[in-house]
Amino acid sequence: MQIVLPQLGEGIERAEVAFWHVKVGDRVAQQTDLVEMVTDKATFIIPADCSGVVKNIYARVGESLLIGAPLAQIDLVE
Amino acid sequence: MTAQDMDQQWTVEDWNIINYNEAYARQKTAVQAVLSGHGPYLFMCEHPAVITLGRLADSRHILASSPVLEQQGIDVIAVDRGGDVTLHAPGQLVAYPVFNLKNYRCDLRWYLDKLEQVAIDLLTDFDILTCRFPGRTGVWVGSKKIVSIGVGVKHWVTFHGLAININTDLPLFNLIKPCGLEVQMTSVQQLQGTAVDMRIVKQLFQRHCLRIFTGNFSPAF
Repeated sequence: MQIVLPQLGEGIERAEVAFWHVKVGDRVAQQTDLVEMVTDKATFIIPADCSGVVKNIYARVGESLLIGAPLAQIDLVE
Repeated sequence: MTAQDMDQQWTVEDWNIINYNEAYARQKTAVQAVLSGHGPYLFMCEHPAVITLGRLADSRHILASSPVLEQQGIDVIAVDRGGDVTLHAPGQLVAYPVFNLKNYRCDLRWYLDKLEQVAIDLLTDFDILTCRFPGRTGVWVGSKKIVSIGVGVKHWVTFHGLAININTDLPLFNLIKPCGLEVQMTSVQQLQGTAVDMRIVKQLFQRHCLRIFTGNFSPAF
């Protein structure tokens, strides 16, 4: 499952990666904190939508991403 | 917002003067409670003098040297909120609403705007005419800043919040470049020429906060 940067609010077009709570290979449960994004006055922690293993991380800390940009890939675990 | 959301019971707590890290720990506990289904919280407090660095902070915006800060007993703490550098001190009302934006509106800009409005309404009670500047979150009186805002949101549950200078010792702001801006800070005390009773300020803040976020008036605690 691909995790993307969700809509954060009206007029907010992008956000910066502030902190990764996971690394590739980590096993995550649903609602585990994945990544903290930051806009000018707000941080926003994005959770995992599913349980699985972090397969890929697509953005580095400090990178500015558009809404909808891919953040990570999680392989589902049965 | 549904009628059920508006009827959610807010838990309001006055922490008086509380160490910054202790207040942060309590917020994080509240965030987990809200994620588990607890209703909204509103925490109000003052902090002993402390400088905090938001995620976008530039450490060069701390103008005082480490020995000076040590001498004054002022810690510098990096925190997980938006924004740059700010300072908290006694006489400043700090408010931390902790609630689930999914029950209101999943929109960070909306939330920041509402926080500004709570502060504006409070300051209007003291006959202080405020203004906002597009692209510069916060509340201003002319060219001076009186309210600073920096929030965190975890799975759409809010934490951190806003700081309103009521009776703050304003020269403390010379230790930093607030929010990274060339700006002077002001306070209710400076504008009124006299100190204001913080208990009254908290009662008014609670009333405005609950009105703006729920549409209801609530009795003072």
